[in-house]
This record gives sequence, structure tokens and C-alpha cells, in this order.
Amino acid sequence: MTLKRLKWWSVFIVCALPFLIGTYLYLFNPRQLGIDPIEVLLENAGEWALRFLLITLCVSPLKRIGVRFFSPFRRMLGLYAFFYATLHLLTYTIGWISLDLTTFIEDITKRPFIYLGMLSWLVLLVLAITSPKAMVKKLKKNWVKVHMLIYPAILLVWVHLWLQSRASALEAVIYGAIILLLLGERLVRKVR
Amino acid sequence: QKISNTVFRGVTTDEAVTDQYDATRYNNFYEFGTGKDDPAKYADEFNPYPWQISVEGECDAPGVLSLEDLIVSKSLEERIYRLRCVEAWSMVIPWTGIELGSLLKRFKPNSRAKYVVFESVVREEELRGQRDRFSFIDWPYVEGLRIDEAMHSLSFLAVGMYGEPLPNQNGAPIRLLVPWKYGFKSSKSIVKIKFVESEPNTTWNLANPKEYGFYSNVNPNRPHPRWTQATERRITGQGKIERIPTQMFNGYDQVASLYEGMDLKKFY
Repeated sequence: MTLKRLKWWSVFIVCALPFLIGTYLYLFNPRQLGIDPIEVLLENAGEWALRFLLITLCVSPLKRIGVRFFSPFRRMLGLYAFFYATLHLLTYTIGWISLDLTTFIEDITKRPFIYLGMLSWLVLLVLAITSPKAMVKKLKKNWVKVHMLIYPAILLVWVHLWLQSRASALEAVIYGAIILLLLGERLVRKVR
Repeated sequence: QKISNTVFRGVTTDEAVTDQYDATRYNNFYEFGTGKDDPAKYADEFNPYPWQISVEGECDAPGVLSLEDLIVSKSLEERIYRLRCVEAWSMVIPWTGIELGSLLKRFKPNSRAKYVVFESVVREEELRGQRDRFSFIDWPYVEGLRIDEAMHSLSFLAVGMYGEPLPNQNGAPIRLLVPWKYGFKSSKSIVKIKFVESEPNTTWNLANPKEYGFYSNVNPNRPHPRWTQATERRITGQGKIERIPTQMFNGYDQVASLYEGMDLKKFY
């Protein structure tokens, strides 16, 4: 195994750890996750999706300041964001609402909290579908335009997070500040 | 330690009782933090003893209610109630305590006493949730009931659960239980009870009036703006969790007469 391959696999496995650990605990010791294990898995998957989006957005600024470690993995990190978002969606439909169609339809038609979350997943789906190298070649210049969708995606995800906060805004404020920093840096560079 | 001299009376249910382990480790008590495991995690930072509740307002015999009075009371009873959280999880829990109405009568509420206000403890040094600067809610936690709701035989003041004194995380040493309303109406760690003439402003109603009404009766027909209230996740025995239909008034139909002629979609 070349060093490059080793590095690739290490990053791949580290990124999968939240999923692997969560699944392992759910199968063998669900109570260790919490009193309501599904709720914990639901929250964790959602939060990891958001974190991977943020990590993906960090790749280019890091490269600009000379940290190139993550640069070869930008696609993988983005796909992990989609992976955890899908896991979040599946945990919600299967685990949380027990595939109850009435609840599902009510949720995606009437509740901004849910349909904005769903919309962000759809945007991530577009990004995931257009991420293979073949698609990059096929879309040519348009690829960059399509992948600008990561900006509305992160904002939608943040609104989804904000809408679920009940008593304290701390979590949404912290993530909001990070998003503002990452998007602000790009905006400033563009203006200059 | 167990609470002695408890009478076991009829208010109960044939549904499986939630494990004590679960009921004491999964709940909302924002004074300790917003996570559902925060109350159990930080409960030991709070020392509720000694304790007394001051009873005041529109009544002829204001005074104090001490924890000792309640615990040695001959009328302590155990009741098994369903507890339905507004977030759509629910449990079945045995509580030890006293009917609220019988206690309130001691203080002789007068004719202007149309509502009863319950105020919970404020101790920033012991309750880390009260130190959260990003909190949407103001302390003290205030809840209220209409006087006829408070006097209803189901309204209960608990000093224990599962035959033991109330753990700090569940509202030690004295908490309210109004089983036909969403859990947040059942104030914890109460320090003041006040009889008042007009409908009080209550904590969650102030924080988000569209989502949390003054009445907040369990009502499967009135969805929360962010989720359905038609079903709930019941945490039953042995940690089993199942989604079951939610019942009107949480299954306590005997309170329906309190709301005769009221549009419960408007007065949610």
C-alpha cells in the first residue's frame, strides 16, 4: 500500500467513525447512547452532516494559508456530509416517526423546520450526484456554478438548526458564527 | 430511603410503568441545562434542603408550607400518572404526594383568587442553566392554573416518585403534577404559590406564545408548529420505546367539564 493510499483510507475511516460507533452501540448496547437511543442517533447524524459541510468549506481557506493536507479529500468530505444527512433523514423517517405516512406528509407540507431540512437534503443530493469525476468533466464550467449550491445548503441547514432550538440559542449561535466566518471570508475576497 | 406512611389510592393506569432509571435520567429541567441528560448530570450541584413554599396573594390565611409538614402528613398517597411532554415523549410514573386542592384550601383563597401561580427556585450558583446567557427563558420559571384546574382532584403536589423522595433532577423537593396538561405545566422545585385575580404570564407562553398556550392541555388535534401531537414516543418498561396515539387530555377525560364551551384550538 502506498503512502497515498494509506492516507486516503485513514481519512475515510476516521470520517466513518461517528457512524460506525453509533451503529455498533445501537446494535449491541443501545442504552449507552441514552434513554432514547434513536433520538441521540437522529441528533448526532444531523450534527455530523453540518460539521462535515463546515469541514468541506474549510478546505480551500486552509489551502490558501498553506495547509494542504485536506485538499485531496474535499470531495470525500462533502460526500460524507451527504452521507450523514441521508442517515439523519433515514433515522427520522424510520426510527423517529416509524414510517407513519400521515405524520410524514403533514411534516413536509406544514412544518418549515422539517421541509427546510428536507430541502437542504435535496440540495446536497444534487451536489452528491454531480460529484463524480465523470460529472465534473461533463458539466465543465457549469460544475463550479452547480457546486456554489453548497452556500445556500449551509444556510438552509443553519435555519433548520435554528428552528429546532427551544430554550437556548447557544448551539445555533456558535455554528452561525463559524458559518459567517467561512462565508464572510469568501465574500471579502471576492469584493477585493 | 423510602417514604413511609403512603396510602395507595385509585388514580392509576394499567399501562406499563416506566423504569425508575429512565424517569430519573431523561427529562427537561432547564434550570440544569437544555439537554435531557443535563438534569441528572448536574443534579448534585443543587441542595434543596431545608425547603419551604410561601403561599400568598388573594387568600385569607397566607403562610408557609414546609417540606416537613408534607412528608409527615397522614394524607400522603401514591398515584400513577401518565406524563406527556410537549416534545412528544411520554412516561408512566408513580408519584407520592398530596392532592393540591386539599392543601390550597388551608390557605383560604378568597373570591378574587381566580388563578394560581407557581414560582420555581432561582439559584444561579447551584443551577447552571440559569447562568446560560443565550437562554430564551427568564427566571424564575413561572407557571399557572385556573383555580378550578388547581382544585381538580387530579392536580397533585408530589414530594416523591417510585416511593422515594423526589430526586433533584425531577424537581426536588416539591413539584406539581397536572397530568392532563403537557409536562411543562407541572412546575418543579416550587418556592412560591400565589393566588391572583387575572391570568398570569407564564414562562413558556412568554418565550413563544404561538407554540405554548396558557392552557396547554394535551390535545392530539392541535399540532405543535414544529411537530405532530397526534402521537407520542412512550418510554415504557425495560426501556422499550414505542410510538402510540396521544389521547385527548392525556386520557384523563374527567377534566373535560372544566373546558365546556371553550374552543380548545383557540385556547390551546
